[in-house]
Amino acid sequence: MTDMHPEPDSELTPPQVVDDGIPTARMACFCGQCGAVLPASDAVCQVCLERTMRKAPERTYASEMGQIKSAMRLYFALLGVSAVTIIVVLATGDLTAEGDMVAASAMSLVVLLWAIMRRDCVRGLLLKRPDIGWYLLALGCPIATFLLASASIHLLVKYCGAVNLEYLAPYERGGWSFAWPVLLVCVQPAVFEELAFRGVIQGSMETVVGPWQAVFVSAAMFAILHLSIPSLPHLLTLGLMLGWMRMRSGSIYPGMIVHSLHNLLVLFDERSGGFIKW
Amino acid sequence: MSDVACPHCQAPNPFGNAFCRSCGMALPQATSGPRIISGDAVPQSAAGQALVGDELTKQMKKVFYTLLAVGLIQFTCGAILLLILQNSRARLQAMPLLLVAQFGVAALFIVLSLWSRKNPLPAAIVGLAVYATLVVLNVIQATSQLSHGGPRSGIGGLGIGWLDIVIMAILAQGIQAGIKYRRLLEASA
Repeated sequence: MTDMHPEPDSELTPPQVVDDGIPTARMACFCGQCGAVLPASDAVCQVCLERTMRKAPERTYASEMGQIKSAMRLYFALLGVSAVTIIVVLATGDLTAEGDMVAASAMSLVVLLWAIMRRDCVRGLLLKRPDIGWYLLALGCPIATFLLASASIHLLVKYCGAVNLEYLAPYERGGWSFAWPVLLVCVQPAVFEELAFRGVIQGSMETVVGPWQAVFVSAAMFAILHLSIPSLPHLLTLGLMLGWMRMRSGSIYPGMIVHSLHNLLVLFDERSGGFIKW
Repeated sequence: MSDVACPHCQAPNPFGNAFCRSCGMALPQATSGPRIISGDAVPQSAAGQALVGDELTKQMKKVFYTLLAVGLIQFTCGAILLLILQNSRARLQAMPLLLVAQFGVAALFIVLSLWSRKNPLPAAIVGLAVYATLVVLNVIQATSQLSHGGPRSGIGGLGIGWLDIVIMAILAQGIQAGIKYRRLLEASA
């Protein structure tokens, strides 16, 4: 890539000479960058040094590309875990509770690893204590997202031949206690998916593409990662809502509550045979 | 880089200095010959910015056309599927969902291509993530077929085609171009 030589920088105005004596050619002591008088020819220019110190840490192409690569790698690592799980399920013909547990552990491990590597993105979100209003909103939102999920899945099952997903069945078949699906279907995904999507991915993206675009990108990734066509409409809505809450509150705790309560309602819905008879 | 002689005192100065180290007078800026800048540097001059901007715009237009092409290909596949479904006597139960998904993906890529004209960077990121997910779904299907003794499809029987690789490479290139373009806009603002 080529470029003509740049115009002289307007910032490079020579400062006033602070030295008493007029420098001579013998002294050879002016800064080549700003023209300030130097005590010796090999001395560091204090004016340039101060200018550099005052400057905010510069965002470079490499740092911005690094942010996007980090987010994309996390997405692909989680996609890999989901893909391997589905391949194993298709090969064996059944999803067992043990298999679900292994997949959940692998996913948690991947997210934990990324959260440690990208602690610059998640530290602030974990330390921030949001207003009580956000928690109250977090208690109400899951009802709306559950209703949307229930309605959209019902429509897709009735008119498009979609198959209703079963989250509780593998645990019931294996004779596991109800506490296990609560832990592995409600708590684990809520904590680790929020850390991954609203923490690392949204945090990385918003430094490069802006806050609202970061919300959309993380919500889109969150929705498609589940690899479930019937769940796409409500997952995209849920992702947008969680992204907005994280952007406005500056914390991922309200999002974790919404996510876990939404999953809990879905689980209870399956257990009771359907709250709403559409 | 060779030294530059000061026009006032003839003292040698390193190339790129704005002021003479010896007499403190302003040095003339070099005007002849192109200067090689590193791949990720943002040019400062208007001519350099226009040159780089044109190249990046070209790369981002490629993202628009790629997303649009993927959308149209998916739409055509959906239309073919619809024709097969209408002419087939044995209608599969899951076919309507497949159609909804096919047209949904087509619509998504067309919307992304339109978004990429205004915001190429996030559109290319979402486009790459969605396309890679579709490729992974193909891999899952191909692997499942293989494990049940079905035919091999795609490179190495994994269900990945050369076109998939080209499309993902163009979208990845578009992400790089999007970042460079944003930095260029910030530099020229």
